[in-house]
Amino acid sequence: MPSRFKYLALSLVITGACTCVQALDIAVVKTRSLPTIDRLMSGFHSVCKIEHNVSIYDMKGSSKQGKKILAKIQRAGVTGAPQTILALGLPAVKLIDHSSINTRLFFAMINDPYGKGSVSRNTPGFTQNLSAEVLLEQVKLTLPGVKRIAIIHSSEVATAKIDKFVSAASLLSLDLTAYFIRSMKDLPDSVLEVIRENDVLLLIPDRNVTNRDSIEFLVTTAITKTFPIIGYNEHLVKAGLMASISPDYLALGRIAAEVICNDRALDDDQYQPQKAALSVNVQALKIIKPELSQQLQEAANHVY
Amino acid sequence: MASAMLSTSVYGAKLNDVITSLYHGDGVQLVDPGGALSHTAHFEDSALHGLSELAVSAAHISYPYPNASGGTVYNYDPVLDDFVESNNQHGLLYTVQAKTLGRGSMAFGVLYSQAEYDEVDGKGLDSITLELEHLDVAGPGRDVCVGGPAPTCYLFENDLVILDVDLAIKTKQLFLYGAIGLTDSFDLEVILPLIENSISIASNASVEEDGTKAFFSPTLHHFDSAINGDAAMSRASATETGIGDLKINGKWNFFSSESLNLASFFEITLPTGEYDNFMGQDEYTFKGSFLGSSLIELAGVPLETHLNIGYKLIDSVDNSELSYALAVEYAFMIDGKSIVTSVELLGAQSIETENGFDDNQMDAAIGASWAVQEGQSLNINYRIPVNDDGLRASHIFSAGYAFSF
Repeated sequence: MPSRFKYLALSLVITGACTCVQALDIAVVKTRSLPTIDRLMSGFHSVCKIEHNVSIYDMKGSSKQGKKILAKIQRAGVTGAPQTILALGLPAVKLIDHSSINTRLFFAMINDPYGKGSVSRNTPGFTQNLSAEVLLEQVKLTLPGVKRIAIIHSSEVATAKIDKFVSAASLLSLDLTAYFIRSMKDLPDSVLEVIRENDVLLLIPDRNVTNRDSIEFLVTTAITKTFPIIGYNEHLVKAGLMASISPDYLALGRIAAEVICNDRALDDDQYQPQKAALSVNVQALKIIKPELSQQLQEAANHVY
Repeated sequence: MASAMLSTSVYGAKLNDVITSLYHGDGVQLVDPGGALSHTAHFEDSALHGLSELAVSAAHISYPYPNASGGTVYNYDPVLDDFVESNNQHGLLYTVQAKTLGRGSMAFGVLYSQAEYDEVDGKGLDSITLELEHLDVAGPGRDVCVGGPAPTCYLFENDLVILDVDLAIKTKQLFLYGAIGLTDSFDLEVILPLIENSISIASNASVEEDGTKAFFSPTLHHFDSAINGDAAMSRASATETGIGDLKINGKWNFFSSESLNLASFFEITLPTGEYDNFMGQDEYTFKGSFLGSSLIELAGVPLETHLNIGYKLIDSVDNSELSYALAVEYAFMIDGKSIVTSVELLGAQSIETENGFDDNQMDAAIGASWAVQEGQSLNINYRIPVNDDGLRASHIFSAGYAFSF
């Protein structure tokens, strides 16, 4: 028994020592509190062990507040400064990325992190876009039998991204057509063309296609033409679109915690969420795809 | 009717002495007719005192509020699924926004404002007519009648001196203001005006004889300063510079959300400005207000709206004022710089008795703020009266610079 007790005590000391060595000071800087950010943080906290000291800072959407947070982190000095910062939203990422803070930085909640020079190329993180494969697979699951998928985009979306969609569609035996518009003026004609030639329109974030001015047109057209348009977040479903496929933020938060807190390696600097969440609008579903209404309501993560 | 014979200039030491200093400061004195009709041909100056009291209301200056501009705000646009950048900037000048600066944030500014008070109750100050009454020579209850037996005699005490007055009250104000966020939801603000006020008055007097003059042939009342009495024309002017009343404000934002902010606002005005020079009140005043700011969308246009409702206690409940302000702001970008335009409707209803209201003044103001750099803005504002009550300036121009960090 005494020798067993010794081993037990020794193992406790070693475990404790290891824990101390591995414990990290992590700062999470949020651009603003949002339901999606809160979901991501729930996932993060569920994985990140309690011995890690996670401090959360909220910019409250203000650059001034951001500067104060920056000063606070800088004042913490060499010993108190966090070893890792997870910045949520482009303003928070840019704040840290463009500062003199020399700490390992991860981004999250950004659609196109390296586009237009927003985030330094060597900054890793977790994008808000589902990969083309995951998204198209989810479309197939949502609308069984769908073959012809359309995407409308402008120069806001990189050609490489469209190419990925085309390749992924090909792998999934889908026929994807990308419709290019020069400006929002081209959108009505383009949408009507899409309706004539396709089974579904898949929206991807592009401010020349989906914005406050066009959303009403898209919703109305989908209803009047009984044509399925799938959005990229649940707000678009609340606005009247039949369905949307967005990242599962809870799962994304867990992955972020695995990487940041548990040192899991990232395959790619720009990790794309692999788990999708489906949101549906019951009223729109009943008009556009009544035959799928019950099934999709049961499958959906969020029903409106 | 006597006409103007001579003009004179009088300079008063304090601005509120200027009007009453006309005609040597003792009313209008005409030539003593002498002989059997000799009497003190004096016309009392109570109307001039009344005008002087009115001029003091020029001290009710319109304070701007340090609606600190600056700093970028990131709002989440759910349709774009992205944060959208906008400037935390305000084109408001007289309406107070319900949002606070946030703990540790500071804002400073200077604002130049100029106005000419040129109307009273809708009538131009350059064409005021005042009536001065003859001194009661015979005493209360008795009339002196000359030129025959009553009633066919001349009641010369009923003659009037009519003053055609041209009054100009001008003010130039430089407001220095600062605000600090003591907590995320509480701001403290201080506003101090430096003021240059000037007043000038010119009066042309004439005698309006009573109808009974028909019964008496000689002229009893006329101007002739060479013999004795005042000249028909009198002028006076003065300019004074000094500090105005210091204002200390506290703002507590008790509800804050993306689209709605509510706050309570408390102002103390310290009588640091010289009352006699129209630079301030002669007592402490306290004002409490409710503030609301809301983001709305009208026909697809995003607008920021503000509502202020306040109650100012001047020296007692019977001497207090209700005020309100409604404002709408619209922001747009030009060459990457944010410009915020505003329209304000400003009202003040003075309460002079327990039973009723008196003096309802309503103004409108339009303004714009241009964010020259982050945290720095240039502002312009133009304010006009909407109704006629009280002493008013037809135009108030303001321009200023504000910065915050």
